[in-house]
Amino acid sequence: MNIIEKYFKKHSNYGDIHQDKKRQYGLGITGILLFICAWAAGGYAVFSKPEFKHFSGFLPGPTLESLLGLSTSLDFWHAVAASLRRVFIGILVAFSIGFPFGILIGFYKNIRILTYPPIQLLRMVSPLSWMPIALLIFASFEGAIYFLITMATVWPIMINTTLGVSRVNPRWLMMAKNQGARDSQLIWMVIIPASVPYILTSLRLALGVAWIVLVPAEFLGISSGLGYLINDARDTMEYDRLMAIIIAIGIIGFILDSLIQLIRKYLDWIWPN
Amino acid sequence: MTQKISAKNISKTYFLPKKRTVATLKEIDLSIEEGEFLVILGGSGSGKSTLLNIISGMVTPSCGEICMDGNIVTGPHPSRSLLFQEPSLLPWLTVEENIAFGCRLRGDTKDIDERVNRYINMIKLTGYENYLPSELSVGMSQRVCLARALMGNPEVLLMDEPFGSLDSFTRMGLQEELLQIWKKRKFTVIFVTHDLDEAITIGSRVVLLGGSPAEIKHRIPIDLTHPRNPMQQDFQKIKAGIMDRFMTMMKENGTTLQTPGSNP
Repeated sequence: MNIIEKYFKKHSNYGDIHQDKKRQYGLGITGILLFICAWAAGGYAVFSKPEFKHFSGFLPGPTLESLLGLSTSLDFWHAVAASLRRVFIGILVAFSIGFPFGILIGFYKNIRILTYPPIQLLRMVSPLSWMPIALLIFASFEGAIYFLITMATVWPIMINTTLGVSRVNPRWLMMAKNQGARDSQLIWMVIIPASVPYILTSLRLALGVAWIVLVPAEFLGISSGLGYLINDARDTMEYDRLMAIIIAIGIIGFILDSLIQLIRKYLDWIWPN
Repeated sequence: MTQKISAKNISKTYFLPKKRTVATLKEIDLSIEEGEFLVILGGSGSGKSTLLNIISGMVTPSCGEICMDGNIVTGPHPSRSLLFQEPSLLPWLTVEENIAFGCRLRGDTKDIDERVNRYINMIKLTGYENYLPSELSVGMSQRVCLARALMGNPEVLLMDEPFGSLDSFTRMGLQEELLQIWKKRKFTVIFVTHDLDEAITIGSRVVLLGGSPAEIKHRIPIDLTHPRNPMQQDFQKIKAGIMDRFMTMMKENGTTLQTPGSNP
């Protein structure tokens, strides 16, 4: 297959997708194996020295063994559930604030100009710097974590929604106006559905940020969740468990991201670029 | 014949950054009869789309006014339905839902399924009711746009080079379909094109835009009977006449190129 054929195949909605899929999965699995090899090589180079003997838990062998153990431990799944709940509630709150504001900011130019400086200023602040304030405002650690995740994710959601609104095909707006649409109908029946791909991207970014902010937020002093488990493993010096949790965090994040990508693939059929 | 739409002394100047301006239209006076098929003919950048958008109410003229049935046009209205060169279907709606879109906006949902079906038959897309726009060809999409425009029972159909991006066979087919619908429904059509053959094939009157800013240079009635054949002698005679006028216009301008914004 020459390069032009490849190009057409890549950009066509039809064609033999299954063959490509097999190759992709094969390469993906090879990537994971390579990663484990690199991890093992680096680990042995460092931990073979006698003074680092206690840290041999960080090696792939003990870690993967511990990971298997974790997958059958109820405590671990409780921690996953607690962490996922925090991420979802945090993003839900961020979305219910960021999405309507994003639409309004994108639609009304004056609101856009008005809100540009404060939003740019606030989004540059590391979400974890709100930690002391979060602890002051909220009586419970749980509330503080929701607040931190919301602060971290509201900006990508808002900014991407605004971007989606500004990228709506002007012909659709002209058409709808010509057909007699009011402003509210333009927003509900054209702009919001037209920005669905951007909304999905915003959620994907938000999920990535939330998942990253979550662990340090759970170091705060709360006694559940994956961040807490890491702290706990450090205190009890179970380094294989510690490493296994880190890997588990990566795996769960990867799965969540893949789910959104899956929805995106389906939507690409409807909203071609 | 009663007058449907009149443009009185329409001028339009666009303002660009750094105090530059583009005078697009100058003192356009135009009267369109009810049931007429008016073609606005001109080169690229001659301001014909601007004129159409002003008639639709989408663009406000710098000077002058548009009247429809004696009332001044102040904004877009479904009774003047616009069709664009590129299909303007909403990609997340099926063919059926796209056709019904305008009616749903206006809350006009009486017998909507039956009406949609009638139009799907009319544009010969039976069986494609549940297809998405990304699964249709451009010609099919443009027919869906036409059906959506007709669903609102427009009194005037404003068409901005609607067949411009189609191949010549599809284009001929659609011209024919449009003429059939126009004869049956007896609405007014204002059709913008830069294609001489197309203008003479479908128009009952051709208005020639030229100059910069554009003025109406000529108004040419086309009295040929339908169906018209571009190989007919009468057809050729009219075409030669229009081409002569274009040549003269270009000579008057001192150039064969019309660049928008070249005037102070």
